[in-house]
Amino acid sequence: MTAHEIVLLGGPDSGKTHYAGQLYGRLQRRPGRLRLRPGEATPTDLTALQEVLSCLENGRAAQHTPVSTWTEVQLPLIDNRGRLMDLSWPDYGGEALRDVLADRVVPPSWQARLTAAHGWVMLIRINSEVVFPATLERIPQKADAKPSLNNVRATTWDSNARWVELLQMLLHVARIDTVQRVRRPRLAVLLSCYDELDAGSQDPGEVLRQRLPLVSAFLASTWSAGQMTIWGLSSLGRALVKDASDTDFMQDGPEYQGWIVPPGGGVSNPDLSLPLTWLLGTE
Amino acid sequence: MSFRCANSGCYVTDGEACALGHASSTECDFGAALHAAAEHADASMRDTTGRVPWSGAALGLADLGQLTPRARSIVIGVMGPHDAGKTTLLTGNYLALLQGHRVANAGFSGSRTLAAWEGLAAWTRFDDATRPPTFPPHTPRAAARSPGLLHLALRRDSGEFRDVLLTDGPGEWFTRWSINEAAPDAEGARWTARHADGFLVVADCSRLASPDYGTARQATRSLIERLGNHIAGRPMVFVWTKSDHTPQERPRAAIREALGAHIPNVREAESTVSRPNSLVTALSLLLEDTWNPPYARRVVDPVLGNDGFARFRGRGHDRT
Repeated sequence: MTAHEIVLLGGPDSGKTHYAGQLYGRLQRRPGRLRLRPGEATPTDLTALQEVLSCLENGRAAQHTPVSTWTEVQLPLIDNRGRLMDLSWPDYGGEALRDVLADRVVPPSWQARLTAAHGWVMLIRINSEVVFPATLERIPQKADAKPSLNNVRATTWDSNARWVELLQMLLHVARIDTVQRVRRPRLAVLLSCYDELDAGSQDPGEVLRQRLPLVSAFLASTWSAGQMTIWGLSSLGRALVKDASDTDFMQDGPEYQGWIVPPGGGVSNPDLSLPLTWLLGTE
Repeated sequence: MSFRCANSGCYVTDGEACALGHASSTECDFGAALHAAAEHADASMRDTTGRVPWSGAALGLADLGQLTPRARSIVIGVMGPHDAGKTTLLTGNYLALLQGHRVANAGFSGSRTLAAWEGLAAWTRFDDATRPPTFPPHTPRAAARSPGLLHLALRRDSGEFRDVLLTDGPGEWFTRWSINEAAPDAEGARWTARHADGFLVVADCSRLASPDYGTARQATRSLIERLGNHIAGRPMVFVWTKSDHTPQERPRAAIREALGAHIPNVREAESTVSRPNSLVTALSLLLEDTWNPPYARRVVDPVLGNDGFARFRGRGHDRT
């Protein structure tokens, strides 16, 4: 049996907790390629998932995970060829990731995880990313439009630059050389809340290329082909709210909601554990 | 074991004067309790483990040691008079990468100076109704001994990886340098001329089209003539910026003549912000030429003397 750790990277409100909750529901009640090991199926400690599971059962969205939280769920897994593995799934407040950029320091606990991890999962919610359009050709060419020196602009970074800087920092801290293309860790990019994008069965890689071109170029030129994949993820399949129940969602139970669009596009698949299967190299 | 003063701002134990002005550390309240420093050093080691060796701002010479050992790096010297569009040319290339374009047939593979790039790009953006977008402001004329370097890492599909360092210096440096090679405030221009692997020299078409074209022609020509002494066969691309203005024919011919006389193998490009792709083309042209280092010249044994015993220079050399 091998123990696998993954690192989950996602900013605030990118859907980390919902994905964790839905993933657990899938593994336990409606398994695909990966399932929980019979006999020891229920993880010993479910505290981390308790709140999200009960919210989803009632057709409500889960609360925001507090910043200081760092919890892990140990999932004993078995794949469809009978191989055993232990997966530790982390959950934390997404602000922690934003602080990495602001403080330019990666906490030592993260550094250890990043170095040891078998794979990285990156959650990007495209619709909440700030992207500026190209405007160079539309700047008025007037002599009196000359800016003065003390007119310093407060800068909001383009999301493209934020993600690239973050990945560069994490790669550096994990002591991964990028002059050669990266082979380990594998990287699964999940475009979360894919239902917001109306992308249908479009290739998620293409969606990322259109919406965050610099990130897409960076990933393609940093990771080896085949060691990085881009998926479209809708953990819930629809938008839920925190203070009202969605009856449709409640009726069947959360394990019948949510889907994932595989790399390259195509029909959406209800097996939310597919990126993990790929990440752990068991496909 | 080494000791430190309990006052963290005091370096008396490093041989400096007491921070509070006492003649001897024993007279000072803090100095009475010199702390063992071993643990302190260990703590500061731990603090730096999760840090990265770049801040995102433009790189200085001290930063190069962190970057250049990892791969082949290309230093591009961007030269030209003040307000000719050097910084806009660079910003245009970053904005193009942001839109997913490729530069020199290579994909974006990271940058150590994203904060500097974003700082420049912010000027061109509509993020606040009260501040219309403008071109990046005049690069400040600092007393620095080297220009700020903007960094791009590029990778071609074949896997070739290059660190591209673009100099972003103020135009006055180059104007001063073209007048007086030894000018004390042109140290940055001398650094650029010495260390660049290739040059982008820009000339402002709008100024060459204006009635004041004489001054512009003079500035550009003297820069070309100065650079001609230093270029030593390195590639150069001459960029006619703001090319939506058509410069007057004869000043343009005069500049071309100077180029032909002083810079062998010069290539020309035109760029204008109304076609942002033209900015990328100009840089790509130069990167194509500098992507691979020039071949080394064949080593020829020098003739050191005419002593008969030192005459043997290999067999069959001259017979072919």
